[in-house]
Amino acid sequence: MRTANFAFALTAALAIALTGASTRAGAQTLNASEPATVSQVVDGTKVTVEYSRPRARGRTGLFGSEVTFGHVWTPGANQSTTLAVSKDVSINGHPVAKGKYSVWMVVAPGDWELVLDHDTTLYHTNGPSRRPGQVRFMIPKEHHPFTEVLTWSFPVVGTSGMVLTMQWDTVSVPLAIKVTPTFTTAVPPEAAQRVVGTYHWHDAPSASGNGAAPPGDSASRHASAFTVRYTGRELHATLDPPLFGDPAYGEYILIRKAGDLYSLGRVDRGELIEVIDYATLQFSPANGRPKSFEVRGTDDALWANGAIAP
Amino acid sequence: MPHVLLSRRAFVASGLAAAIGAMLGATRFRRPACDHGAGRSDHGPHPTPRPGIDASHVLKAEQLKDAALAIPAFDEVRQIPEIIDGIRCHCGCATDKKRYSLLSCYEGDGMAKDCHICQGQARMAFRLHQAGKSLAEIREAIDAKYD
Repeated sequence: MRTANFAFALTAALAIALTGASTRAGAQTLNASEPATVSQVVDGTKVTVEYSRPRARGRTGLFGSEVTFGHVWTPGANQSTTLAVSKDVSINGHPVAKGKYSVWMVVAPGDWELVLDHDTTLYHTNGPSRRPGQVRFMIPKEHHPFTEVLTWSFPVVGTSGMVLTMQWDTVSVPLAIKVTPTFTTAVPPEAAQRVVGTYHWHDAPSASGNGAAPPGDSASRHASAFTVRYTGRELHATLDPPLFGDPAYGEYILIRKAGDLYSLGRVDRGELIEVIDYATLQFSPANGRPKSFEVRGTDDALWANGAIAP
Repeated sequence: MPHVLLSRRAFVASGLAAAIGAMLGATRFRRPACDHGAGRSDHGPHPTPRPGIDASHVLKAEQLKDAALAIPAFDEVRQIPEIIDGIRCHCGCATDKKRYSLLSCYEGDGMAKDCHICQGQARMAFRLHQAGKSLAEIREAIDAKYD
């Protein structure tokens, strides 16, 4: 009897302990609208949206009913949705300064109005009235296949910006964001004439360290014609044959850093898609006329060199 | 361009050569693993070389067994400490007040052994010094490349 009582007491104690433990460890965290963050970087500018994601849960025709026309609505739930940009950008052509904003949309049957407000602490029921310091402009909305959960995403990413889109129900609101570029492709004519021409390009042997490529070894090294031309105040270059035999590595824009030092911008199907900032191209003109160049990596190792073709 | 009829052996050989060349090229034309945000260092003046500075604290080869590829950079720094001490490092470490100059990256913890930017600046400085460039010209060239 005493043994049975002890066993019962022990079992009861264990049950209580486990229940207590699971309660302490499992604090309630299930939300009707779960939090989410999406972020995208383009050319050093980071755009971040933080929001909570409401679900339609069987409701349709949300805009005009659940979200009434004229309502200053945050596209999210709970705390206001926020948009942070790490550098100055433009959105649909309108300047938006670096910073963090709460995001609101004035919902209407036609185009909506986007409102960016500096107060990022507002609750979703507390849409701000019109006041100084806000960024406000009209934004088009589009019809889209039904989306159950309110979603912010970056469906388009390019070299000069991105498209940020909000989708919920059958509405899609795209925002075209242009970033402040970190480079310019413009080159003054007096600098361009020092480098324009056709060169023999030779890859340096991989063991060359930071010295010049040894002479008489050209047969074992990749050799190309490297043609630099000046068009529309830009220096365009073609490597023929291209690196790796891949046409995607044959066309470049030269991005001037200083003097006769350039970075290579890789062009694919007419679009600048990458700035190769871990290597530089140093031209060495003679008497102001193109003569030779070296390509070196961040570690100063020689990657390639060449001289103007006779 | 003349047409050349290749034997089967020569054709295979040329294909292998192209493939190997492509692999080597692909390895070279890749962003280095150590980048430290190249070109994003805080702007600031270059330090004045300290009077009497020498290479006595520059790590030696036997201290670089786990970074053998960096030994040439350390050897070159050892030859021109008074120049290296006049260069602000662009890898981002210059904000650390304990690091006086690029020379500091080659002493103590020898962070240069893992940093392509530290190595590149030093090797560039050595190369330009060998070519007769002054400290001012070397600083200008390093700023142009690494800023």
